[in-house]
Amino acid sequence: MTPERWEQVSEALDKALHFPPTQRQDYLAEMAKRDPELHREIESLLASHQEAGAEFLNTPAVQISLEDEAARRPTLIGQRLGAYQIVELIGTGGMGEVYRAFRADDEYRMQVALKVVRGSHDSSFVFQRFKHERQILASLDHPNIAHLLDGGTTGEGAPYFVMELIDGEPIDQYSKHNNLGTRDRLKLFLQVCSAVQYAHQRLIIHRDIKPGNILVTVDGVPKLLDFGIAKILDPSAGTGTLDPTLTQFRALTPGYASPEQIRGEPITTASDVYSLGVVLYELLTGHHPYRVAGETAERVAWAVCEVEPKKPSSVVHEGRSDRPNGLGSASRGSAQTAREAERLRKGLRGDLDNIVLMALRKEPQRRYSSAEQFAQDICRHLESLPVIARKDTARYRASKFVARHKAGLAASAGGAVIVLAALVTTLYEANIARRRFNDVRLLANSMIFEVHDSVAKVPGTTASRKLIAQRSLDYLDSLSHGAGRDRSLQAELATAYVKVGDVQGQSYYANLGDSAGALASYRKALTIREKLSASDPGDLANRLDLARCHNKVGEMLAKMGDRANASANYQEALSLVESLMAQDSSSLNNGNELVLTQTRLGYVLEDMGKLPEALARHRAAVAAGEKLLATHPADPLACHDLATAYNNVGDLLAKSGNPREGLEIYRKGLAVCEWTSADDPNSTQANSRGWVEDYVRLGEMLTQLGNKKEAFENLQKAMSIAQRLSAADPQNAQARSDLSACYQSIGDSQVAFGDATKAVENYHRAVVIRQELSAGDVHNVEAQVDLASSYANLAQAKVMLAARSRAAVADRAARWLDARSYLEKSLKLWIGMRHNGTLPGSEASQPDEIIRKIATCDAELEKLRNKSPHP
Amino acid sequence: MELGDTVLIQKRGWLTPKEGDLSETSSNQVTELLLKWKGGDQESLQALLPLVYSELRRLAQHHLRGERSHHTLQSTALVHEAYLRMVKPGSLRIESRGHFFALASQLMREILVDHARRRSAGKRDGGTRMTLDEAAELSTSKTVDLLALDDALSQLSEMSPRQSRIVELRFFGGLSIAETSEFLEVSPATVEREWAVARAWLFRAINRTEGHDS
Repeated sequence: MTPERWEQVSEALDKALHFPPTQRQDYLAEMAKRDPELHREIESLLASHQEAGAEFLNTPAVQISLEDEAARRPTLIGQRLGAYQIVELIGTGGMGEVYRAFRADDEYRMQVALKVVRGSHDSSFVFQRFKHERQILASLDHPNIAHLLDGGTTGEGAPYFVMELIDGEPIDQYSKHNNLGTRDRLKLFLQVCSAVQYAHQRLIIHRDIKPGNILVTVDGVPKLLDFGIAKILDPSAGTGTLDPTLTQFRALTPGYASPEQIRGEPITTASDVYSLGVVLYELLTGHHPYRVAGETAERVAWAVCEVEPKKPSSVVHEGRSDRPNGLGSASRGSAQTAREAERLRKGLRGDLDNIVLMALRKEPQRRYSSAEQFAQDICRHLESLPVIARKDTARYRASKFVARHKAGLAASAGGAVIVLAALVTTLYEANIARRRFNDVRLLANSMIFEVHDSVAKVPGTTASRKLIAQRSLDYLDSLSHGAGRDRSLQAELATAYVKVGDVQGQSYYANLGDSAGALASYRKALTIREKLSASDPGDLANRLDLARCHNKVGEMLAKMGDRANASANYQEALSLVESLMAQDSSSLNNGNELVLTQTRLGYVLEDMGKLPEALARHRAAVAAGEKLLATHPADPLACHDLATAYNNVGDLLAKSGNPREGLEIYRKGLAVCEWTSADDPNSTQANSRGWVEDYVRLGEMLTQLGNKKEAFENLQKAMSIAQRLSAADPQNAQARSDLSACYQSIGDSQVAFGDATKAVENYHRAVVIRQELSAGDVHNVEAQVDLASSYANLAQAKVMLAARSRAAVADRAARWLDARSYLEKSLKLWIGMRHNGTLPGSEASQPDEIIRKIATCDAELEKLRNKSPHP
Repeated sequence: MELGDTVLIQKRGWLTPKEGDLSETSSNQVTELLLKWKGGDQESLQALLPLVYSELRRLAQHHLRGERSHHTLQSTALVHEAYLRMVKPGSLRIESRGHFFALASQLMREILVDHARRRSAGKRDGGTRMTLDEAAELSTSKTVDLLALDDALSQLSEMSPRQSRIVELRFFGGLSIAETSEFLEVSPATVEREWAVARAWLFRAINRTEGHDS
């Protein structure tokens, strides 16, 4: 049919469809005469219109395909999954199907709910995560949390979860069917909050709180379902994928998800607080805060992110929209309805409006900091006490203040200024005092949850961790601006700064490789501690913390190559700790800090090339460590520190030409280590990496003593631990650095025992890692030293091979050129450090040495060129 | 808001987008591309299509494996979800959203028809025969033979591109009458009229095809 003809047909059909039956008949009869062909076509199309009915094409294609797929799926009813016999389908939820099942091997035939998760989840991944989380989830033992019992994968590979079977209805419907009043709804909701708070304390965020996940039993007990499951199913939860395009699927219910969830930002406890807020809004008003019914997901998401919800009291014109049938406005007098609506509105206006809206704030940090705080505010409301939530706190406080100081304000212009200044202070301090608890708690929350969730041994989280560190710093800075004279707040701030600094760049632990940032944070903490110390010199706890801050700052300065200032900070720390020891020599904390400070001083002196002084410090550390261990024989930290001190002494002795004495002391240290870890089989990461260092050093010393077999045994031990640690957390700069040190040392030993070919391989591995570490943290001088050494050693091994080579001239020349290129790379780094004044004293001779080696290469190349047939 | 022939001609080239294309792209980029496209820059379409396509395909597969229940799907039509994932909520005005939905609906059609095609091929290869009961069940449900519909829709587009587009937006894109009218910039009454006519014609075309083929 031509488009023109079709247009004619379309018009005619449209007319025919819109005519009432009798007129239609006339219209068709007239058409039959005028254009019989058109008439046949229209009759035919009218018939198919009739036949098509209302259904045809009115269900979206996706849904048809989906139902089609579901129909093809073999049923699970009657099947057995693990220990569970599936009885019947009891629902299809957002994630898949829920079945009633019972434990087949249980004589009581305990009934359970079995949820099969459908979707393109990588089921082995989900299963791994489930195994990882199962312990935690199974330990959630709270009367308002449905117990997770078991889980696995079906024959098709779909994951399933087995849960306590809850016989109940969603909280919104329950409230509606039982016609609960506002107070009863609040009390029900409080139980939900207590369950959420309980889980939050165990580091579990629900992520998908909605009425459908809160069932109320016939006894009126609300139970939260699916705790922790959203995270298990969320592939981005652990990998830290912060990809804004969300290539990964996120379990998310747009109407209940928080703005940060929709935007794909880190999820915290505050996200659950938000979802709880939506649930409460609905419970109190019967309306969704954004009126999502019938809206597209896109519009809901937009509203959640951009639109401020209306006050609950303003949306209940006709009473709650969820009153049970039969009690609605139709069956009662409108006057009664109006009275009831007014009563409801009154009940919500003020406190409850503010409470609900506070939970629904767009910015996570402006919400209640925890479900507990949310619940407490509701309790305060129920007990008619003032609530925390306020629409506009400053104006509220100002109005109270002005009322109290009316006289002063009126008296004179000067008086007004004074009173206004006082007002500003009052507002400010009141705000700080009130917000302080929240903000610091929120920060702690953020650090614990975000850092815990994303940092802990998960690859690829650097970006999110940086974000967290930055956000935490922003908070701390804003807090410290107005912290005033409150000692405990100041102390909290200092502790928090140290914690952020640790995340940014603390050596020996998982860190972000941001040395400059860490130094800045530590310095902020130090400044606060100094002020606290000046205002109360008798505060011994603060003095210890001050010493610790000096140590942290010193450590970071040393790392960045500023050894003079590092040693000054360590000296400060030392005199503080010594004064503390004078007051209380039996304190474990003081003792540990003393060993640590001496050790660090030893390190920095070593780097400054002052080996005898360094040895003295390490010996002092040994002495302090032995004394400490005598008073606290079981303390693992003391053991570890003493072992390290022994090792440092042994190391220095070996370096200064006493390898045998060094080895002896070293073995003493190792004995302490072994003893420690025997006591603690689940040794921490710090301990494990301690072993890497110990075995490497032992291997080095044994190499020096010519004991090849034992040397490689120890180096191999170090290597396997380092590989394990690094594989567990590839983003961890320290683990990478340890791994590179192992390659480097194995290379060194191979060179010493004459295997330059294998040494080249291992040096090369070290170089690759160190290039990456150095590029990732440009302020880290230690990384530069490591890389420069690796280049030099790699070049040296290549020189050995070139010198030995009997290959053709051109090939040998290529080898020398290759070795020379690595010498140049090394030289460039050493010279750069010398130029910046960061070249360690112990490495002071490196540039000249490398230059000599380059000259050797050039001489060899010159010789070869003379031999070459084509000069 | 013309989805001209250029789109159809370019289709084959980007049918198999590289994995990971999307992951390197930010939602800002999608937004920017849409705006450029709207401004008449056909080049930007080249960059945009693979992004939307791969996201839709991922979503469609996800859903087809049974991720969502029916009621969530109603309000979370895939294109909306794709839109949500690719474009920052609220960042685009109606015209470019229209572009996105037009594009996405067209791609949805291709994906679902392709899925159905592979399904039916698999059925033949696997040798599973539908029982009479099952066949009866299917014909009474709202099931549509997507392959037949696809053919019929192509024929319809030759007679009336607008009607074909309306069906694409409504049936494959999951859009309401109101949304379709917004995006096509015609009155809802027009959409409703054209929709009714197109449905009647398509129903007949499909059933006639089935009659001939079986």
